[in-house]
Order: sequence, then C-alpha cells, then structure tokens
Amino acid sequence: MSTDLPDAGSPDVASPHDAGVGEPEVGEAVVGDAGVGDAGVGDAGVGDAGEPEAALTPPKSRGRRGLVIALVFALVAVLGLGALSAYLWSVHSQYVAQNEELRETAQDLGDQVGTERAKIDEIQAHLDATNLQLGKAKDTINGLANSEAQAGDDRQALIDVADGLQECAKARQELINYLKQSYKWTTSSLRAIEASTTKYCNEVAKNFKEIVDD
Amino acid sequence: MRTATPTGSWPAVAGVISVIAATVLAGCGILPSAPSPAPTNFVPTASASPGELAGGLSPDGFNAAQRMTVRVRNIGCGFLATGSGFALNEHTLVTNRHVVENAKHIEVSTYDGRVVQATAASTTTVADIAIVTTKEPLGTSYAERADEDPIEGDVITVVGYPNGGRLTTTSGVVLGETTDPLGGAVGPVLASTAQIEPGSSGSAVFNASGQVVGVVYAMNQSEQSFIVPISTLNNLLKEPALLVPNSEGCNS
Repeated sequence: MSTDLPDAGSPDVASPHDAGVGEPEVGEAVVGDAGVGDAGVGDAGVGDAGEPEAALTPPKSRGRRGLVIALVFALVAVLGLGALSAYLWSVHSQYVAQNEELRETAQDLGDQVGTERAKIDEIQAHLDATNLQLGKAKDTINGLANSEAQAGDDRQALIDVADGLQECAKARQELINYLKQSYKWTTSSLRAIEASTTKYCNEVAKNFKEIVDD
Repeated sequence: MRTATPTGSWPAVAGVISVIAATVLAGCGILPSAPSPAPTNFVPTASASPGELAGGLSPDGFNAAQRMTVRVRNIGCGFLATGSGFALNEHTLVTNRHVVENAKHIEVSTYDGRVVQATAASTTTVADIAIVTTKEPLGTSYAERADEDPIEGDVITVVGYPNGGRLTTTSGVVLGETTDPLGGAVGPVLASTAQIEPGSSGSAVFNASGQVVGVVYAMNQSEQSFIVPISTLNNLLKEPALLVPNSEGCNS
C-alpha cells in the first residue's frame, strides 16, 4: 500500500491536473473508475504532466484521503471507545463500591432488625402478660366498685330500717303512754293505734330481715 | 499544491466525526448513569403511636365510655332506687328524670368506686332527662355529644349499671324513630334492640365513633329499649329554661 502513496516531492503531485481534482468531472470519473487503486494509479505515477492520462492522478489523492479519513475515524473510534470504556469502568467501580457499602449496611440493618425483633417479641410477651393483669385488675376494680355500691345501698337501707325501728319504738312508747292513761281513750281507738303501730313495726322488721338475708 | 488534498477530505472527515459525535451523544442516552448517593437514614417513618389508635392505651383498662359512666343512687323517703348516668363535664352529669324523682338525697358512684355527693338536680317535662350537679369532680372522661341522631340500622353501645350491679356494656341496633311508649316525651324517641335492665335508665348510648347519641330511659316486654335522642338533649342544654330544679325532701 505504501507504494501507492505519492511522495511529497513527486512531479505527479505537482501536476497541473491536480488543480482539477476538486472538479466534479474528475470526481465522477474517479467514482466511475473502479480500478482507481490498481493499474490506473501506476500509470498516473509515470505519466507526463499535461497529458490526458494525468487526469487519473485524483484516485491517488483520493486513496490518501480515504486513508486519512479511515485513520481519523479509527482514531476517533479508539478515543471514543476509550472514553466509553473509561466511563463505564468508572460507573462500574462506583456501583461496585456502593454495592459493597449497601451490602454492609444491609448486613448491619439485618442484624439490628433481628435484635429488635427479639426485643419486640420479649416486649410483646411482657405486654400480653401486663394486659392479662390489667384485665384482672379491671375486673377487680369493677367488682370492688360494685361491692362498694352495694354496701352503700345496704348501708342506706339499714339507715332507713334504723330510722324505721326508731319510729317503731317511738310509736310503741306513745302506745304505752296511751295505755297508761287508758281511761282517757276508748278501747277501739287504743286498739286502732296498737294495730297501726304493730303493722308499721312488722313492716320495718320485715325490711330488716330482707336486708339481713341478702 | 499539497493543500489540495485536505481541502477535499476535511469536510468528509468533519462529516464522519460529526456522525460519530452524534452517534456517541445519542448513545450517551442509553449509557448507565453513575449511582445516586446511597441513603444514610434507613429508619422508616412511624405510622402511629399505639396511644393514638382507636381504643388506644387506657390508664387503668377502662375505656372512656366506661370512665364517664356513673351509678346514681336515689335515696328517697322510705325507698332506695338506682340508675345510671354519664358525665357531661367535671361537675355535671345526665340521667333520667325518673331516676332522681322524689329524691331526698342523691349519691353518685364512679366506675372506680368513688362516691360523689350531688348538690342539685334539674328535670324537664319535655323528655325523661335530668341534669345533676356534683360537689366533687366526677372524673376525667366526659361525653362527646354527637350532632345528629342515629338512624335505623346504626350499631349502638350502651354502658350502664343494670340492676344496680356491675358496670356493663351491651350492644344493639337502632330500630328507628317511634313515639314515647310512656307518653311523656314531647318529641320522637328511638327504639333499639340493646337489651337493658332496670337500673340501666340514664345510661349513655354510644355510636361507633364513641360519641353519645342518646340516653336510655325505658324498655318493653319485647326486650326493646327506648332512647331519648341526642338532638333532644342538645336542645335542652341549649335552653336551660326548659330545666327546672328538682324538689327534694320528704313531704309526708
């Protein structure tokens, strides 16, 4: 391939026909000439300046140009791939580093979760036991409050009975006083007073018995 | 004349570079980006404190409805009657008129067994409702009154002291509005399936949210209970003129 490259000081390069390299006609000729890189190049390399064969010189420069393009392309591609690789390596490294960090954190958190779960189980057991005790305490409070209320009712009922017995005693004392002066009263009125007093006292006694029986 | 070659090739080279650059730029879109910073805080946000949940922590195992419920002892002239009631505030409670009727003295027992002396009672002819005031505080839980009456099908809970016994909670369903079977109430009353007993009179009726929606005052042989709706109680509390002091003492 190096043999196809014209020297910088070659007469071919200095050919006046080079001026027409950029012309469309030449380009078309080049495109249409499939044998640019073959015999045509060799011929052009030996052709004299100013002769019609000199028009074949563009393929030589086009070859060089293609090579330059290829080289540039390759260079850019290499640079691009290099940059891409560097970037991907950098990203990869960051992910690997972060993955390690997160893995360690996850391990720590997993250990903490395990410890906390054990604590929660222990606390839950205590809570269940406490709730059980609280339920029993609530029942006890309710029962004691009820006992207190019933005792209050009984106390009040006993107070009522005591008041009744007091009234009964008072009525009987009055009856005794009436009987002491029975000459002042009719027998029927005395019997009526005795009957009402007895009825009242019997009722009080009945209430007292009910309270005692309860 | 060596410059002739670059003149023709650089545009093409530039084009190729442009294409490559464009391709690279386009390709950047599908390239993986660097990882975002790792989180430093892994503690989740707390959802709710157990004490904030419905039916949350209780200082003694009793819920608010139970703590505001009181047992009313009517010490009359030669008789003793018991009923239920509930605290409206520190020194005021609601019960039934017939619970405090003909009282010589009224005592109130709290859920934890404290006995509180009543200082006055007011009743109304509009409904079987009485408002009782006390000298000592009733407790720390008070009724939250609903704004609207319950409707047919609503589930209700009644907390009271049936038969003057232990603090008891029962549930039922509102059957709907009806007229007062005793004929004393001015407005409509509510019938429900909640089973009550003598001594439950004056018990608060709670809805599912724990708000008071009525006051139990009667029952029939079909085991239906009758409730003074909360709207009636709310109106009475807004119109104190409808409440008159209950006469105390024994006339005979």
